[in-house]
Amino acid sequence: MTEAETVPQDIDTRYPEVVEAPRWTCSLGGAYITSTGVYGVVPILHAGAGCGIAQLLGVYYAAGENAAGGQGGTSTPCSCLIEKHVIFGGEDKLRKLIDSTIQLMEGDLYVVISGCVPALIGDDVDSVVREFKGKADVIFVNTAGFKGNTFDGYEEFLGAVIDQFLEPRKKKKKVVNILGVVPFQHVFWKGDLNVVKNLLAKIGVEANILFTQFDGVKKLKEIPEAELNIVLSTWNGHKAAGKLKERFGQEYLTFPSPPIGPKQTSEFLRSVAKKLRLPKKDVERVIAEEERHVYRFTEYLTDAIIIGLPHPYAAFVGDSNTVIGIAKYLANEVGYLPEVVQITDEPPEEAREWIRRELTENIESTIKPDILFEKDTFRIRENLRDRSFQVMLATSLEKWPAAKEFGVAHLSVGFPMYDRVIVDRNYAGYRGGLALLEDLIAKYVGPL
Amino acid sequence: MAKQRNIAIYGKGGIGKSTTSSNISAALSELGLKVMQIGCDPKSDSTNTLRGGRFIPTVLDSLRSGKRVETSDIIHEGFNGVLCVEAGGPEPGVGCAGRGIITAIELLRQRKVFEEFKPDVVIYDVLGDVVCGGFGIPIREGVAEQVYTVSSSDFMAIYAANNLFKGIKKYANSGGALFSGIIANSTNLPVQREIVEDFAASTKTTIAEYVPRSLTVTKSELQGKTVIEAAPESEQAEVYRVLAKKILSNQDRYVPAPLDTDQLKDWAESWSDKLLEQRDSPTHVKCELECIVPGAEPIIAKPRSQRSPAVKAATPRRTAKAKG
Amino acid sequence: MTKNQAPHLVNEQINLADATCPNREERAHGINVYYGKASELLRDARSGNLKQVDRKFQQTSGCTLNFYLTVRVNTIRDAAIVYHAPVGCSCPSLGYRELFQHIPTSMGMPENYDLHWLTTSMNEKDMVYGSTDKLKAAILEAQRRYDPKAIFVLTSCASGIIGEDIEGAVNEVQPKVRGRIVPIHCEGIRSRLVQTGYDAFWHAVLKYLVKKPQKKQKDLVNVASMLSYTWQDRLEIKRLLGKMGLRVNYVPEFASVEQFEQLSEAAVTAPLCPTYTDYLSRGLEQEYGVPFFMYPSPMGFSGTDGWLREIGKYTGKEKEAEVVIAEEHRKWDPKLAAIQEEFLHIKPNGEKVEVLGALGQGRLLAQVPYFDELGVKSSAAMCQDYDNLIIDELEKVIAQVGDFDILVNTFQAAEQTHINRILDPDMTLTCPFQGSAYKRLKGVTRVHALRGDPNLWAQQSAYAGAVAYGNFLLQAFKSRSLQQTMKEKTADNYKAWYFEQDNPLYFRDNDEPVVS
Repeated sequence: MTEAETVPQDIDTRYPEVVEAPRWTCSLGGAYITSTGVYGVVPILHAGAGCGIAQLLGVYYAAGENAAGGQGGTSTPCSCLIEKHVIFGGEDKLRKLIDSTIQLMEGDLYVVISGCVPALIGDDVDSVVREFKGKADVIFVNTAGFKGNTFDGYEEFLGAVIDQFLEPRKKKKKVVNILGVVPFQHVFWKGDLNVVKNLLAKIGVEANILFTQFDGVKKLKEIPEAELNIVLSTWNGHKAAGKLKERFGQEYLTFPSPPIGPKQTSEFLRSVAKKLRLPKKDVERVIAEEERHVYRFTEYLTDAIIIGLPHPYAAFVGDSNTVIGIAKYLANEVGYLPEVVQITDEPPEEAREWIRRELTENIESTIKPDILFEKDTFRIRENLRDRSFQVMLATSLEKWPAAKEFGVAHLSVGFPMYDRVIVDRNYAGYRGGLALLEDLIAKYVGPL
Repeated sequence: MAKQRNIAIYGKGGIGKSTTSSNISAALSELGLKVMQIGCDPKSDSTNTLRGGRFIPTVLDSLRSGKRVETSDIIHEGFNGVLCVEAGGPEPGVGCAGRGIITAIELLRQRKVFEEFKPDVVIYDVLGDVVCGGFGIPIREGVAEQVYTVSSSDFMAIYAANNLFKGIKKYANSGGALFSGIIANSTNLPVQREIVEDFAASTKTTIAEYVPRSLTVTKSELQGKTVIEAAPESEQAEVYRVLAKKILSNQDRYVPAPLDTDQLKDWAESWSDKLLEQRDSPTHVKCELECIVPGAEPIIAKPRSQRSPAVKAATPRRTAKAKG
Repeated sequence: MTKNQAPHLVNEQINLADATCPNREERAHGINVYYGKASELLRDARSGNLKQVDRKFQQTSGCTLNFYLTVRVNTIRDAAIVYHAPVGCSCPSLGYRELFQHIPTSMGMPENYDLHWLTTSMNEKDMVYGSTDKLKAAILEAQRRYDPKAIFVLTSCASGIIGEDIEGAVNEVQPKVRGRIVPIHCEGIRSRLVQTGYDAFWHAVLKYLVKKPQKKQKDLVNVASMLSYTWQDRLEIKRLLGKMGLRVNYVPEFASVEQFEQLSEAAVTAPLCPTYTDYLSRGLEQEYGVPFFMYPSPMGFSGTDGWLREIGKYTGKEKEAEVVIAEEHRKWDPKLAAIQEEFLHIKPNGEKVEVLGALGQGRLLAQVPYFDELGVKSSAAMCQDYDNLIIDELEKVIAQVGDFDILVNTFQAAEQTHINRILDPDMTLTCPFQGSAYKRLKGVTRVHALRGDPNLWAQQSAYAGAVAYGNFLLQAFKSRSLQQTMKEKTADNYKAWYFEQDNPLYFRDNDEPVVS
């Protein structure tokens, strides 16, 4: 082995996409996992044989060790393309695959998702899918691994549904769609969506949450019926909301994240009620009841909070949808001092201003956190050094450095989360904050 | 307002498809039509003669820059208002040109350039070796409706045209573009015309026009211009105008019947024999020479059978001249 | 042993001058579609008539990169991986920091260690223009950050289709990097058989990492571990060989680069899974004269006896092997007897329980005889793929336990659910991710544990493991509430008509030309 020349020490900025362990998968992955969130959908991957399984290991399991269900994991139909398809084309295989899937697997909507291979060789998937018109509902998400990441895939799936599957419908009052929560990528998606749905039901609003609903495909068709779209993210779902506005004239209301804890939830309900012109009295009644309950229950925690670790400096690492809500709740209602927040999902520039504002102006401590947009797991760890935080809310990637290097209590709240099992668990709504505190404080509190 | 015409012109590299396409675009623009020419060849030089010999930034270049692609980056006005676009592509030996075409055309769609510029005619000038799915994109539904191919009587060009026919046939049933004619390039000699006509007959296709090889073209291109621009009064310019009008009025389109490998081989062999007979004929050589040195008299060597033994050993033309 | 009627069943040559190995189809006529009797499979294989066919209906099952190089190569300490791929290909590696974290330091887990990987996140632009420049930059970044002893470069479908010049890039940047750059050609599309990924990995190891032996370590035994073996298995093997005065070079899971370099110095290469280790073993023998054996694996009592004896033979420790074998038998025979007794009482009239396992080739050969030892019957087995590397052993297994039905498929959940329905075994051993094939009225349990599981009950190797898994299997017979409740209360994945077909390979594509 030759003596190495000195490698230049400055970071190569030409390729910002070269990173250690980015917290997402590719665009095909995003479309695929989103499709399995809709019950009644059968995804069909037109891709290599590894694409589906990769998502199982790297997304479903990473979203709180979830199995992928009856149409996911090794159950997902896939054209398993190999060399001969690359050279001679894969359309024939796809045709046979779609045909046999319709015969074998029950589904209300079959979603063909293309990967890198057909995109490179130029397979005409559109025309193969069209052959099935009249035989079954089949749509095509024209994406590829190299076209983007999970969040792009989520928008591509919704885009394909909007363009290929939805028809205009008469609008219904007090019906809304919830966008911006990406299944699995947002680890608490199932819980969060259902909490939001139930909350809105309390104020007389019917929410179509798209995912985890049993007549899932029927509910997709109902999307154009909503009076309003609610987007629970600074950037995810905005494209879809824009498309829906263009196609069906639906307005949309945006929030930085699903609401966490009483203050955020009350604000959420008031905003929605105002937009939908609901009678203020009814909404305030619900709010008062809920707040009364949750704050009385919060009292059960105050000894543990005050004796255990009051006003801790805290470090946050996670995607914007998760981290904003959690940091705000802990800072504004529990006295936490956010020292550093690392946002890992690479939101577009337009969203970053909003995110910064949420984490500075809307934070009630005199310290305002360092806000870093960082997707590189190596640098994320470096950014945690030489700081004073006493507790960390992050992902399972930070667990071991945190526990060992920094010696602080650590709770996984974002993607990837391999160290917890998440089914319904969530931190949304009025009582979500309590659940968060239960999980968090348990990490460090000993016998009081 | 007539519907936008979308025409793809395929041709083997070097056969003259860009020359032909640019001249057609120029001729159509003279008729008052708004024309958009989209070059689909990694060489990215399709529209050079509409732009004074200059390259324009390509669609893929703009993608590579990482900035949001604006239509002003990729649509450039050329001679007589013809809108020029180049898809672009990678350097030789790297990347994937086919994927490049797919990406470029998708981008044009996303940016809604056709809605914005509303061209009357869109001409796709495409690399004729349809070696992978990407190069077949212009034939697919929603891109071009009619396909022409530029071909000479050289076997390589015929081969490429036959391959193209296979591609068209494949997409024919899914709303793809259909064929409208062979533009027979460089067919100055009767036998060259015969070859192309015979090929057309064998594949159930038609000849759109005969375009002779002409020095005017070379001279114009050296100036970085089309013949329409550089030599508008010339015969060659007239040929292109006639061709352009034909293309404009011709809405006929059909599915070609490509030959399979064996049939093509047999067909080519049958013509080789004929060609060998014709090669040494005076008319042939005179014609060839005319193109290079107008007015020159060819020096024809006698057929071998007629030569005296002493000359057999070395028969350079000089020797023959001395004797002739 | 029956004779081969076709020549060249296995291409045994390892050519390290090549960039990568031949794929399993080429090397050993591997297939992953078959349903019939094992004896028929054997006959077809010997006569060279075993043909790979296509499926019309197929399910995702893993590729050469993602089965499991992405969760295997990144356990190599003091190395780094660069994935030259779009970002999705490497997402299974997101668990890298946690894989072994449940194993306490008291069990030999190092206090501190770091694992690292980078992805080049290949994008649209890279597809069109190529991106070897970026690859080079990524390698240099890995050097700058981690200063690793080796940098593994793993390729993808995308990098393969556009024809990226990996070796060219690697050669250019190697002088600037301290560690050895090891390119592994594992493009997903390159093979139908995921085993090709393993061969590709070993090829790269042999070509770039294994060093000429400085000396011979007569007491060193190479063991190539699988993903499906646990830490306890590792410790048990170390203990047994330790008693024979031998040391284990356990690769690649959690190994150091130095361990790979020393593979050439060992006295013998012993298998856990023969087809997994085949390429490495042949390569080490061809290049450095390290002998190897393929059978048996240390699974079950008689398997372990044989394994230890083989190792004893190659290390001159025959006597020590016999001592260990005798000791272990004294300790564990009664426990095995108790297990065998219990199995006899599960069904009335001492009828044997029927077990159907989703197995790899190695497990097929090792586990079927082991079940026989336990007193459990495998009238049918599912095997991930089949190739001629195991042809002789398959014959021996058939001779020992009798003929059995075999379904060769790589994780095809529909086919596996089907065969479970029609054969209705008393116990089905699901490999992970079975996609709801677990919903049934009879028994269900796992084939193997997760490698990060520190518990003794998760063992499966050697005598202790044979007893542990035997008990584990017995446990599974004691309750069916999970699978029965789920079967009753949730929907089936597949339509009912499918289960009325005789053949799980209903969707075999008979129109496609057969590939040899």
